[in-house]
Amino acid sequence: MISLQNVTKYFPGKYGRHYVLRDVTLDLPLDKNIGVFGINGSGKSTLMNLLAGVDTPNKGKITVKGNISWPLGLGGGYQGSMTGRQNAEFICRVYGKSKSEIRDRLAFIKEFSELDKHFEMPLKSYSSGMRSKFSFAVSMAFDFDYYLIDELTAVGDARFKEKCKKIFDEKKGRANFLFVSHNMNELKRQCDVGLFIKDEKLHIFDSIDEAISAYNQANQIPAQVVGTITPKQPAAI
Amino acid sequence: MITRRSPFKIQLAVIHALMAREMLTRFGAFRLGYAWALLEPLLQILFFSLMYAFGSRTMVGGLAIPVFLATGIAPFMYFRKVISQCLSAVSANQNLFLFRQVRIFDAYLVRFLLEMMITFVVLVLLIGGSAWLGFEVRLVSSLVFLQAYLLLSFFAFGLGLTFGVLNSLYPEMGKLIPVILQPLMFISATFFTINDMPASVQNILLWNPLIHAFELMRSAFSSGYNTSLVSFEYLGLCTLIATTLGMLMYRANWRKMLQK
Repeated sequence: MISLQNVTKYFPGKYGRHYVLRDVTLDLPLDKNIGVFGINGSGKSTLMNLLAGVDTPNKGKITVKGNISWPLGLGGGYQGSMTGRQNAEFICRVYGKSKSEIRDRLAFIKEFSELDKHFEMPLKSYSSGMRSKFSFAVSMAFDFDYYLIDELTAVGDARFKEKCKKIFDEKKGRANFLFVSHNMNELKRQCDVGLFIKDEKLHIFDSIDEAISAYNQANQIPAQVVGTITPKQPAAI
Repeated sequence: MITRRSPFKIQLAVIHALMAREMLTRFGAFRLGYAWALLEPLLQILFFSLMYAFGSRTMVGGLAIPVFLATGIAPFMYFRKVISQCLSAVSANQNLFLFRQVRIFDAYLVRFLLEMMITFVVLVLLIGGSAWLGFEVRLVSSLVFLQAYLLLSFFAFGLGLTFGVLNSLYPEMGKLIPVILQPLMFISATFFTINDMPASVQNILLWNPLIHAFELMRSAFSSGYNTSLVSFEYLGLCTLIATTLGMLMYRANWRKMLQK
């Protein structure tokens, strides 16, 4: 259960406050996967940080019942000079896993990410494909009630994508997802409801299609153009 | 089922994780690895000992040279190290605050704890080693030594926290503070004892709490050491003020620091 009560979030700046959310009261549905929309800079990542408890609202309250992940993405939380194993081990330790649990999880990450010997090499030596495989494997190694997924789309060959899809479906029975992505096709496939951030407010749509059309309207993209620009989005996740 | 952990358990897990990571990123890449944690300060002290050896002095204030250094220049370098580690604590760990378990305070705390443990081992090695080498070492009161060491540690941590918060809000501080700390070494009774100074100078120098810490540490190694000028009360008061100030600064600003 995630509920926001009169949440206001702004960033102080040189030219006054930049509001991201202003007096938002909202309950997010328990059993739905949510796609989050918004143009660049509208506050998608800020919303993720607020939900993850990394950042705090300036006013109001956010209540999360259940276990929520950290904002799962490509960049954050990893250190380039440390190996994949060391990075993963750090996260296991933060989550207080015992020695045997850590061993199991590291084995899972190594196996799932297909990094093989690169798992023992510094993260900065990874290609972007390896990096996203690694991030994805780490994200899936922990059990949460809510997964906050920030632009973390699966890459790699068809086989790897199939594997990602399978683990997503497996988790869906037990957990819910909040996706931030610019990939409409992916959101359409994964999500039940849409959350649209616009003008310092959150708008929730009961179906993902409604949310997409509202988003396109706000971006002033005619619907058919979207279809021609992205006829074959990579079948992500 | 996912079980809830108590805040204390989370805190311990975070300290453990950060500590292991700090060791890894600081020393993991070198040959000899973790040994550098001890070798680095030991080599620095050795360098200063050689300076004294050339100056052909064997005793200062009734203490053998290695003991005198272990209660002067060594804790001063420790004090400086804690502050410089705190200054860079936030920027070095910025991407870890993504995990809500990891708070900015943990970054300061872990760096401080690590430094405190390393220096303690270094001091024990220094003093034990010089006794082994045949210098005259007499431990009169280990409790006095421990008390002075702990007060000095928390004094350094309080200041480190204060400067660390200031530094992440106003990055100019990072350039200023090391400049101030450099001359501080020469007025902190690192190369002399306060008892050898003329009375007029003593009155001014004694405002410096570091002198109290070092002189009290020295008194633990010599039964007749003159500690009439220094007091645990003054050192304790300064420590209390520094830690209170540091924690208040942190408490007032941690949200702001997160958004940097």
